Amino acid sequence: MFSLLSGCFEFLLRKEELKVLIIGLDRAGKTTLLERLKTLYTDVPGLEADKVLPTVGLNLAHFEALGAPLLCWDVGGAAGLRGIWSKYYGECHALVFCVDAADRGRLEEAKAALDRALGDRDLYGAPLLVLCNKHDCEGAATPAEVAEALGIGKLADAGRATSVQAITAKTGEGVKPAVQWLVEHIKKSQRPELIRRRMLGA
Amino acid sequence: MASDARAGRPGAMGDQRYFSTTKKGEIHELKQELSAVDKSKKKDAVKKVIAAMTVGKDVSPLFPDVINQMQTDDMELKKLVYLYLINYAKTQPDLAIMAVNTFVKDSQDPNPLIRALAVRTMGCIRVDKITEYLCDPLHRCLKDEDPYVRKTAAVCVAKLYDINAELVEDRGFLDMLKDLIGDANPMVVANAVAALSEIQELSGKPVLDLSLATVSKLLRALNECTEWGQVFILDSVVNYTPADAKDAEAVVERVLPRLQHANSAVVLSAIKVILRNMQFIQDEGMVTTLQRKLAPPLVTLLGAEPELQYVALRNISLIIQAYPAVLANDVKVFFCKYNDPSYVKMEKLDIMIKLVNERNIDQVLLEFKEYATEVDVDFVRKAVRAIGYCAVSIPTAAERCINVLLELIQTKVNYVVQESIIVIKDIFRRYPNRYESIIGTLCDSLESLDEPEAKASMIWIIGEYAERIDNADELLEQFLESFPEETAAVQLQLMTATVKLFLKKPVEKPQQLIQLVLTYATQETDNPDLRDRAYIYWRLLSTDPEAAKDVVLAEKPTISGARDEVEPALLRELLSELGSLASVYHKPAASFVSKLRLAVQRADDLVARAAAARASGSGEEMLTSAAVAESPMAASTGATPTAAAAAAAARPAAAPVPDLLGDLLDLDVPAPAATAPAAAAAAAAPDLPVVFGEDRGKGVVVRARLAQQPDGSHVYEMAVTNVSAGVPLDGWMIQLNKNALGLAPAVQQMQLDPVLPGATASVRVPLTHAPGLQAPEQGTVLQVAVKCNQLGVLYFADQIPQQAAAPGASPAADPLAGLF
Amino acid sequence: MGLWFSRLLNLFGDKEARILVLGLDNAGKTTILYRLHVGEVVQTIPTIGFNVETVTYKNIKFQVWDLGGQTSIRPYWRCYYPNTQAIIYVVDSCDVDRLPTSREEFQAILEEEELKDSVILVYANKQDLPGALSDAQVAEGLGLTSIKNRDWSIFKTSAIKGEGLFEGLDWLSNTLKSKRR
Repeated sequence: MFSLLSGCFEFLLRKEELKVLIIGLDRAGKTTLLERLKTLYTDVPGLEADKVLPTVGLNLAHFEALGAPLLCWDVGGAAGLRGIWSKYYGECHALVFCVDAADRGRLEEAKAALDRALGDRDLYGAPLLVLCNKHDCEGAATPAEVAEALGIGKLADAGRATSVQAITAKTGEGVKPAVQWLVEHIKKSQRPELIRRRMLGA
Repeated sequence: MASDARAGRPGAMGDQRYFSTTKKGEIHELKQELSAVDKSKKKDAVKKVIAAMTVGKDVSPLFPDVINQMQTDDMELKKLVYLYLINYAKTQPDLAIMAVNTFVKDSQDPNPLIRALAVRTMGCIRVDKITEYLCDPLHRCLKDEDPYVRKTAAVCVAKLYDINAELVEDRGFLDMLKDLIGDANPMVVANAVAALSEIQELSGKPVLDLSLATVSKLLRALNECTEWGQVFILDSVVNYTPADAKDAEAVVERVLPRLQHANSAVVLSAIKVILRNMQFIQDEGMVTTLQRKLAPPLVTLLGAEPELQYVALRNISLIIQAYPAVLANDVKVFFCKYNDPSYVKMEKLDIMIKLVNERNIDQVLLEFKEYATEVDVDFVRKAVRAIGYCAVSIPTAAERCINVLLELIQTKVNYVVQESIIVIKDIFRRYPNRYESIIGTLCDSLESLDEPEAKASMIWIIGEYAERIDNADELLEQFLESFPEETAAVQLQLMTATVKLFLKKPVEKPQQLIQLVLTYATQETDNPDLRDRAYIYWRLLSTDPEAAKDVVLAEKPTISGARDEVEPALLRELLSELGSLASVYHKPAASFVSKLRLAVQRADDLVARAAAARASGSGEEMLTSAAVAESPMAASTGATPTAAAAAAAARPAAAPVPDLLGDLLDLDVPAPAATAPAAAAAAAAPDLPVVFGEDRGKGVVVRARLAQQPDGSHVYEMAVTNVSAGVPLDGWMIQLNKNALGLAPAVQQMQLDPVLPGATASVRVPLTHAPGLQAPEQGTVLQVAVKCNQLGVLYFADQIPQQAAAPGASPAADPLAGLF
Repeated sequence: MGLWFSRLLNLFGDKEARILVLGLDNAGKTTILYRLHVGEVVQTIPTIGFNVETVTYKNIKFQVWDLGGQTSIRPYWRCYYPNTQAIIYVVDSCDVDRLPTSREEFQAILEEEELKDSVILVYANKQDLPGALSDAQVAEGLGLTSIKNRDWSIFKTSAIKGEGLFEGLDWLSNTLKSKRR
């Protein structure tokens, strides 16, 4: 009884979690980024980059940044598993697309995957943050180059809040600004309202 | 974590303790401890659970938690969990299934102790739902390489048989058990035999077929077995019937060394086997030698503790009744020691009585005399009776016994005197006209008699020898003063004695006495025995005193030694149960072991059914003849109330009695016509059409027809034949559905005696017109429901015959009416 | 001394992780358990009840409970739910017909209050057999993607060949470690 009551109480008082879906090709560094987020924003340090294994499923991280509670979903990016991504579109507030900037050869594949995701109606109005990971590697593509390769310009024109930023998930460089951008733009966007309405409608 | 909980407790405890009873708290606490990580903590928790269990607390809610500790390398923990499981599996039959896999695993454990433990525990879990799963492990354990596991598995089969006999037979466990009889390990053999005997008792059918080959296997294992294993084997071998004297001798030869065993159970069982096989040995010399060999071990048994002595004595008592020669020369062994407990003394006395003969009578008599002076009243009485018994059974010693008794009477000890008088009465009857000289001595102690039996005996003596006792009338008068207060036995004896006195001395005083007695006995008393005997005497005396003399003073047959012996049939049975409770109680085991009783009952049922089947043929014959015999009378009175026929139908085997009964009834109570239809039990009517056939599979055949009486009323004539498997059918009732004539039975109860298996009983059910049962449409269908206690309700449809259906049919015009 | 030492170990987090291996009958749970425990394929019979073994992998001790999958035993799974850190749910990837049944049982497990904090590892087993569904198909079939509030992972495994099992345990130990700290 008590737990039920306290559950209600918590539910009423808690701030809505901002849900961020992290997708991208396999080996782009999604899970490393997630673990880095855990290290930066929680008491529990995440896994070291060299221990991270390819994700076949879902990893998640809860943390609070800039006064907002965040829930990050990190979904496996192997070709066979990309079908799972779409199950998370409907509920996420923002989309993070992780790119291995050092692997120019797969940018085209990345563009295809991103286009396919953005073509899903469930992602309507969600801010898109493209992270060019492994920025510290020699010969890594610059954010401008990545934006160009992925055709981000067109998206911005279509009214979607977008940004392309460089990070190094392994060291954490550029992660905080990225989170800041995310929180700000989610708050600005119509997306939370949209999701709430959809949930109620359903 | 642990310290957190402790730190948080004081605050929480403040309010919480009010909401939790200590009991719930305890279970909860144990649950917590059971899920602890630390192994020793878990084990402690299980120990606490077991402790709670043994003091009677209900710890069954912890079942899943405890079962989860089952898979462990810790033998001690495993045993504890198994113990818990045995106790609570019944309360949690569904969850018990979670233990199955562990049994399966443990039954394959490399450690034989664990394998055996698992199979033993499995046998103790009496949950139907999981027995089937346990068959495979059991099967494996029966073939285990380790003898300890095999022998445990053997016992498990017997336990399983008790839960699910069919399963045991289907899975071939019985055959596996039989194979184990040939096992190389004697312990396995013993347990297999024990299990098979147990199963045999449970099922009541022969499971263990004892051939010479089997028996020799068993006997081979005998020498190396533990003592209790030997008992099991011997107890089984006793059921072996040797084919010839040679086989019997061989068995005896093998068993003889067991007589030297220190364990009394082994000795008794060995004796049992030897006695059994002795019956088949023809060589007289050998039998005598054997009997002589039995004596020393039996005597040795008497050196044990009193309790064991008692058991030995009860068994010896049986043995010497069947084989007096065994201990014929050892009566001295049974002399009572001063410090023997009373129950041992009593038993010894009984055995001494059985062993007494002309050669040892002097010695024994001396002992008895000694015993009669002891302080234990019951023992003293028994000793006196023993002396009486010696007198009656050994004529040459009678005089010596009488002398001893007279000496005892001189002691004036009240109960000795009374007991002596009782036995002297028997001696008088045994040796008429020889010792009456002592009557005078007896009369001296008349006043001290206060026990009914002693009084009755004394009065009998006075009456019997009234002509030799000068003051017999005075003596009887003394007794008569308290006549109304005496017990029935004394009253009867007094009356008879008075009559004898009167017949022997028909003078004034006895005449008064007899008047007094008979008046009282016919008018004042409520005791029918007394009253009836008084009337008989009275009529005898008033019609023909000479005839009365012939009757009352007739010469009595002399009595012989009457000691309490076990009947021969029972004795034979008890001898095969030697060393068991049956032989101590001197009662067949079936009379006090409930399981056996059931089995015996089942066997009895079979016998009864067979007898009934045999009797049924003659029964029917009798029925027909009874019907023929009665029919003229039935025709003449216009009714058929012959109780005799009904009784004969119901009890075909006991024809003479019902005939007599019938005669009496016919003589005394001419059946009034008014009651006739109700009591109608007609002769068998084989010409009735079958309405409920044997093909309906109910175990009964009903033939019936609706008929109209001469007076226009309807009856439903029925004949019921019991074709069931041995159950008498009773509690018959009948009801009709709505029908065209609106007929209903006058009374629902059918006047039908219980119908024995194979017998046929007939009944005429009077019907009345019930408007409520008038069917709207015309039809000829008559739906009938008949009920009896054993078969439930039987439905059948009959036709309303044309004649009966004709509404205006004049009874006289009805051609059928005349027939019945 | 011993007690003190074991307490110290506990402080260092060297605690056994309690793991339940669930799934329909004939999914290969017991074979997986013994593959993990002794590293070889053992002959198994249907588990009427449970098996429990301790598997040490990468310094984590897993106390692995393998519960029977027969319909008659499934109701008693719940007796084992408390204090469970992870569920290994085993699916026979070739048994397409019973995938819906497996899904029902799986979804019921997800609903359990007592299991709400446990992570989910799915083994799409029997990949060595022809006609086995892929991991994505199994994930879809089980409705894995409805899980949004806890970590889950699916692995293609073959208990007979020993493939995929330890990859799963790697993920499990990573996830449990990061949760614990």
